[in-house]
Amino acid sequence: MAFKYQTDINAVQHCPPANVVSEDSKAYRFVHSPLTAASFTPIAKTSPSRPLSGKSACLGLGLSFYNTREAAENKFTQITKTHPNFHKKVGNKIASGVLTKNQGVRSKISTDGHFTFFEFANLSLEKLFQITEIEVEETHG
Amino acid sequence: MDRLTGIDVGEVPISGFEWELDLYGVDGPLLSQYKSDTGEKYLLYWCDCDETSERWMILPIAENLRVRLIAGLLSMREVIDSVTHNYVFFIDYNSTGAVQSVHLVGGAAIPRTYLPAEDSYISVDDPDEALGHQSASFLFNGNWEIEPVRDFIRSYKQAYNFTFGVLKNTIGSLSGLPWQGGFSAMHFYDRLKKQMGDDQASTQLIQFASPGILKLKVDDEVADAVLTLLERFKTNSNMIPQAYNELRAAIASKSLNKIDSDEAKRLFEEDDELLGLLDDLAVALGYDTALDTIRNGRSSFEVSKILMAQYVRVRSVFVCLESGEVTNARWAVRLKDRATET
Repeated sequence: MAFKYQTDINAVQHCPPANVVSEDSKAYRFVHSPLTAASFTPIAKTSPSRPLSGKSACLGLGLSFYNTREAAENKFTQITKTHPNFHKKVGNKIASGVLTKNQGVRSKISTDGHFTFFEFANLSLEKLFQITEIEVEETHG
Repeated sequence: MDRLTGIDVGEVPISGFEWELDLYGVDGPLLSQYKSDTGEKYLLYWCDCDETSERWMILPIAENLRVRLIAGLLSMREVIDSVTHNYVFFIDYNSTGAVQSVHLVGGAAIPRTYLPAEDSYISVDDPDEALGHQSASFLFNGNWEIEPVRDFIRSYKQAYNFTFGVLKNTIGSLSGLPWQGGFSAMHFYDRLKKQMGDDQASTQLIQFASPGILKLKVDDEVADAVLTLLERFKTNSNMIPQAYNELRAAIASKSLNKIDSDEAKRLFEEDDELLGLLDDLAVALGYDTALDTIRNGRSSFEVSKILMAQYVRVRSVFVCLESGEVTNARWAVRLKDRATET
């Protein structure tokens, strides 16, 4: 199955990485409200954005998710301490849904619950996710 | 985005300014590392964005601070505060990813909304890559005199060299030492060092100024095995010293250090208590599966002396780490990860 950004992926070596898996998983992602196609557009296809290098050139063609809501909230709190304007970049709400193996492949889940999802073509993830009622807290430095 | 108080210099005036790696990110990097053509390191720190541009702060960072930031000993706020007497650059990228402007801003004029919280400790995506492969970093906290630093380096290097010998199976060729009196351990480690040649841990960087840093060029597998050994000291804080003390006391009580070397070896070999205590120390140190490699024709008395000498060196390193006087960057990251997991 072709990836949504297959042409861009073809231009990057070893992309997606060899250790991606094809499994169903719950997924939580930072978003702006309301959900639109832009909520699920990877950083490499987003404007404005600094040009990406190294591993980020590939990972930037995928989408960041967390495997639990708690992991997503913890990360938001941690990152906001270091980057007080983080909410401007990713939004201050969490969208939740289920990603299936028919929709793409994902990287191994890291110890903080993060994984990168490489989406297959012809999908509209914004229609499959919902913004949760809980807003993550903004903590300014 | 916040208005900057500074001079638009048009482009980054750092010769050979080049991306090295991304330290962490969510949907793209948030903190990246760059270098100049003279090897100076810089951090590119994500600050802000709007519909048309994205802003990053470029700040110079000394290796000492860089390693402390990655190891979780310094917060991002402390790193930024360290340049407030100096200057930083702000680089804005436009909607095509091109550089829109580069502002030179005094450290004291950094917008407050860009300042991280006091406890902004970071967690990098790949600590091994960030700390550098084939490299072990030790951070000296507080004021150190040259002599204790030299003792620490010697203990670490000797513990490392022995671990190298066990892993690479090169211990066997070092034999024939009587192992009585204090000189044999010294000779053993000296011979290990000579045998290793270019494989020895070598000093890449040493800075005595407080806080100090020592960087050694190492084999990653060996350095990792030394860290695992140090972790055993942490998790078996009673068992390891007890095994060492019991073996040492038994050898002393049977006066094996004061009699003829061959006789000492013979008596040791015939003494079930001593043989049992040797096994206990090997198990405590995690060398039980490597005993054949270490033995390699040696007597049990000699193997005991070797393990006891290694214990003394690893313990010396461990005491410095555990007291907080010295921090090994990789160990600090390991402990932090373990705390996160639990």
